[in-house]
Amino acid sequence: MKERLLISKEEINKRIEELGRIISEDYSGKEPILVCILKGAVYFAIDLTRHLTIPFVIDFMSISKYSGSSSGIVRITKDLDVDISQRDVIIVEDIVDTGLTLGYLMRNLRTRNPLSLKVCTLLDCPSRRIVDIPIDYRGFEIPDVFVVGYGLDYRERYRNLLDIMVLEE
Amino acid sequence: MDIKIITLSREFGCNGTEVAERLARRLKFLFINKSYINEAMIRYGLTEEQLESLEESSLQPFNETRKKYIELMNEVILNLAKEKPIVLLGRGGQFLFKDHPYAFHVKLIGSIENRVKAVMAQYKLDKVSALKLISEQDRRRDLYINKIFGGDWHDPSLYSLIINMDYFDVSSAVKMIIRSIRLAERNTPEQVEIDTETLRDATGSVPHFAHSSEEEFAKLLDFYRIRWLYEPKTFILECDSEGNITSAFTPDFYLPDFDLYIELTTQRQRLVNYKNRKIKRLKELYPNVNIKMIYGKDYKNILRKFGLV
Repeated sequence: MKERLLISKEEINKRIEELGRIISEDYSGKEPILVCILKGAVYFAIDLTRHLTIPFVIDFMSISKYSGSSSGIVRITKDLDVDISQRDVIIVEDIVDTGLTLGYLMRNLRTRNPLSLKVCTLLDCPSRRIVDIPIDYRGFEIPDVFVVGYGLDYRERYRNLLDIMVLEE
Repeated sequence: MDIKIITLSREFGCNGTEVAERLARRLKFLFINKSYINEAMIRYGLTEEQLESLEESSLQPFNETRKKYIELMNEVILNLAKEKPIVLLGRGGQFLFKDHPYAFHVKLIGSIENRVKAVMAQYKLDKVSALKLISEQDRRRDLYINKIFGGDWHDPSLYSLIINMDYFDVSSAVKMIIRSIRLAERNTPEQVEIDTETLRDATGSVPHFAHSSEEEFAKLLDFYRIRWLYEPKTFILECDSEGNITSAFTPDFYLPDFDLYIELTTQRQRLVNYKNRKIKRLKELYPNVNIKMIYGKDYKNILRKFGLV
C-alpha cells in the first residue's frame, strides 16, 4: 500500500487554531467538558485544547469496535471519570464517517443529562454516512478515501504521521 | 409455554420492592433481592465492601474490580434462573435476560409528584430531600445500566409491560402483571433454547439474506444497536396499461429509528447503474422516502475501517 498526501500538517494546524477560536467564542463564560474518543482523537483533542482560551475539562472515553462475526454488541471499554450531568459537553472525534460510533456515543451520553451535547470532528466523510448525525464543528470534509495519520490508524500503524494521508492499494 | 423469569425494573419511589416481593410470593417464584444475592456472593468469598460494590446505588467508582464483581453476580443470577423460576428486582435484569424466550420484563414508572410523596412517607424526608434522593437514585441506576450493559433502561422496547403506578396500587399492579404473563404465555412461541447467533430483525424474525454482505451489514447494525428490517417494503415503480407491475424496487434494509432505507450495492458496475436508475425513479415517485445507497467501494472502506479486509 502507498500513501498520498491529503491534508498537510500546516493546513491541519491552521484549521485547529480556527476551531479553537470558534469554540472559545461559542463557549465564552462556560467551562465545557471535552470528551475525547480514544484512540484516534487524542492527537486532535490535545492540539485543539492548546488553542482554547476558555477553561475546560478534558476526559477520555473508549468503546469496543466491531470486529466481525459474533462480536456481540458495542460496549464502553473506558468510561468517563467526570459526571457530565448539567454540563456543556463536546465530543471530540478524529473522523465521522458511518455515524454508527458517534450515534451510539450520543445516545449513551444523552442519558446522562448533559446541559448541551455537541460534536467536534477533525474529519467528516459524509459520503460514507449510514446514520445522519449533526456535526457542530468540522475540521475538513473529505471524500470517500481511506485516511491515516494524525491519530488515524490502519491496524495501529500510521497514527504518528504529522500529515493526513490517503492509503491506497 | 411458561414464563420462568420475571424482571422488574422501577423508577425510585414506585414501590418496586413490594410489588416484586408480592409477585414472587403469589407465583411461588424465587425472589432475588439484595440479601439473597449477598448470601450467594458470600459463598464466593466477597467481603462486605465488595458486596456493597454490587449495589446499583453504590457510590463506588465503576473501575475494573467493581465491574468484575458485578459480572460475577450476573453469572450467579443467570445460573440461579436455570435452576428455578425467579423474580429479579433491578440489577439490569431486562438486559441480562433480553430476548430470553421464558422472560417477562416489567417496568414500574410514576410521576415525579407521586414518587416524591411516596419517598417522603417511606423515608420520613422533606420534599427537597426526597426529590434529591430520587434524582440521585435514578441517576445511579442510569449509570449502572450504562456501565454494565451499555444500554438505556428508559427504552420502552425493552419491556413486556410498563405500569404507571400513579394509577394502580401494589395489589392491582401484581394482579395486572400475573394476568399479562398468562396472556403472554398463550402467545409466546415455543423455543427450546436461546439462540444468540441467529440474526433477527427488529420484529424478531429471521431473515434470509440474499448476499453475505447484507448479513455482515446486519451484524454491524446489531453491534451498534440500530434496529433494522430486511427488505420490508417493495416500491412499485411502473405499471402497464392493465395495471400489472412491470418495475419495482425493494431496498435491502429499513432502519425504523431513522426512517431510512438502505440499499447495499456490492455487485458489478452494470448492476449498479441499473439500481441507480431504479433509485432515481423511486425518489421521483416517492419524494418523502429517505433512501441511501452504499456502494461497493464505500462498503469496502467501512469494512476496512473495522479492520475486516
